[in-house]
Amino acid sequence: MTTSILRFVNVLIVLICAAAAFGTIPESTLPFLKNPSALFAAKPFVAFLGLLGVFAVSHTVRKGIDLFRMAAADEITTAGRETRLQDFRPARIPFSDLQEYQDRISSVLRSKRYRVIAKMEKLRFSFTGVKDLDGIWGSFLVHAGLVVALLAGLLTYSFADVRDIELQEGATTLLARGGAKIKLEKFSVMLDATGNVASYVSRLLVQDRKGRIEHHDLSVNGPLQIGGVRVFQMRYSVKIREVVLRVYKNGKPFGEITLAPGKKSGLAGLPYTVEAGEIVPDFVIVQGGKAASRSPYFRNPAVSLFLYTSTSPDTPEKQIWVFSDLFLHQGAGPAEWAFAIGRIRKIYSSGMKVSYDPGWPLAYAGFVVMILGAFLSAFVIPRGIRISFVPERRGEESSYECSGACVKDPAGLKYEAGIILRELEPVVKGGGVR
Amino acid sequence: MIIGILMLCYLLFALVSFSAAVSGGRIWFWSAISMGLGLLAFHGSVIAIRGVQAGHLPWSNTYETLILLGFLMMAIYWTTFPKFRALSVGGFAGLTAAVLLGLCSLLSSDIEPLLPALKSNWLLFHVTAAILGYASFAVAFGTAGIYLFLDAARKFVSRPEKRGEIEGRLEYLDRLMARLIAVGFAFLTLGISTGAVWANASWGRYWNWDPKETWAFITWALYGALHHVRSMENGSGRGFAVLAFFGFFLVMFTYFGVNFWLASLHAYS
Repeated sequence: MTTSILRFVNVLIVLICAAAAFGTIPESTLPFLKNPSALFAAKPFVAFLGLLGVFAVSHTVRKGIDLFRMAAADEITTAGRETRLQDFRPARIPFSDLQEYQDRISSVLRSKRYRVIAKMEKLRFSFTGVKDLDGIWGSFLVHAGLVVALLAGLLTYSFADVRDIELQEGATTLLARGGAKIKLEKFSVMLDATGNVASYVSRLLVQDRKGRIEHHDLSVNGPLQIGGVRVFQMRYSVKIREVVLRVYKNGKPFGEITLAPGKKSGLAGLPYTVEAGEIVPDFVIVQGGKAASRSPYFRNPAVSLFLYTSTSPDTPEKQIWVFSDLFLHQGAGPAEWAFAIGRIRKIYSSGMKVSYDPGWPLAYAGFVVMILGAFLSAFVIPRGIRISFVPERRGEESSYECSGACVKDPAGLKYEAGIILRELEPVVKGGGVR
Repeated sequence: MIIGILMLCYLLFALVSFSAAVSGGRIWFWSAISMGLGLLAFHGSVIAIRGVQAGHLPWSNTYETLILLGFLMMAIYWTTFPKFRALSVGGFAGLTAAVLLGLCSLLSSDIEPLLPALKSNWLLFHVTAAILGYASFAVAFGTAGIYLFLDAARKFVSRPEKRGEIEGRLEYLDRLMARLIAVGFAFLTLGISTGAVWANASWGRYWNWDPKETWAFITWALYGALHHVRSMENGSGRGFAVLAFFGFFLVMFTYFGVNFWLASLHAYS
């Protein structure tokens, strides 16, 4: 690409990045902004990405044609523009004897992993070394991969149907695509042996279009393929339906009260009416003596209970925390009236994502090509070095020059050529073993 | 405590490396090498012990990935060392590692159980690749810092042979910077791609324009643009170094800033 096109592409990249950054600004930060993330689905943004894709296509096509030609030629110039690395210097080898030194000169290049072709052309004997020629494909593949990934994005943007659904235990829904029905039978938070969360699992009853019914477990990182769509476990919520309280009198069971949230209840013989306040799933005391929940899982539930007497039915006489076990103060006998949680009846809702996306296989292909290209670019540096001898003094002596070509890292080429020329010096100056 | 000790050791290593680079003395040189390699082993063992204690890969939250980033950064520096022998870059890398470990003090060091969403083999590939990319950019940032310092210092040198020596060094650093950015770009490409595959398997979409994803894309695209700058005529040298230097602040925002300022599906990272 010419410098002016590259500059334009860079400006385009900066504009796209600026727009993308704008799209991530939280709505709450700037009150005059309305849903900045909607920008990602806006047509101008998609058009900008499309324009970037057009430049990537143009680069891919032009570079691809060049590269196929270069790969076919398998020559030093295929790696890029040839530059002079060393001017002619005298060699003590007679030009006519160069054939006999061919192995020694070639082996210097081979020691640096170059493939060497020695060629005699009229009055020039050249040793051409090429290495890591595969690296020339790096930038081409990155651009080609980007084109494929952008095409996948366009496919997703145009045809994907991704929806969030919230299903309560016992509820059924019809999937918009595929015609299957799913019913959430049970949602479970699975704990491991240490009491930590292992996974969230939705037990589903699936009825496909043909009426067949099957049970399936949907878990985090374990999507289900139902008809033409994939279903993913995303989140969950829990609603408390009622709390069953065990009532104790002087430490002995007295009865049970079922409390619905926000409603007061009583029990014959109990001098209080009670109301459940805050329900904490995993009770812990934090700094300042406040109650909090260590996690959202019902591992150590506690209920804040308001006790009302008949003399003050609107203002609670006291508020106490109630746990699964009967709470006793150390050294004290049982209180006259005490409470413990018998059961907390909950109903879970499972948040699922139903996804139909025809773009993902193409996106994966784009990613693979991009990764391959980026690694080739980073680790395989193509280089070519040519050492040419010409006759001097009617062939009694010779002189040699060095040139090289690369598509990147010219300083590296110069550095390596320096090493090669140093190693070559004893051969061309001293003669020695042929 | 142990992270504090590691941080102090890196500061000392930076001092020794800079001294070795300036003085050129053999004792400083070997001190920097032995200290640096010893520190790398110590740092690696801190990560390994945490992994054993946690019972999972120790890169499941920002605290852990910061420690990993510091380690991989030093590992990349030592990988380049046999070829480039840039001790001053080691000094800068040591300083950066100390700052990264210092950031750990802002975060909880508690070992948390692995969230269900992170229980996937993709955690290893996605996080390691992304952090390797960031680490490579971090060493490039150090190299760019040294480059800009020497470039500015060159103006005050009057002796031609000394000036020539600095220019040779600049060419060398420029080469190292370009290689590091190419390697970082490759690993970031791998990190983003494996992340997309994981997101598709876990969230039903390979690309969500989630803030973390978006900023990773921005970082990737701008480092891609840096490759374009490199391939332009006069695309090497000071301009490239300035971009490589400031590019790292973008990396840090993507890695660290997004977690603090933007609501993301990657809240745990």
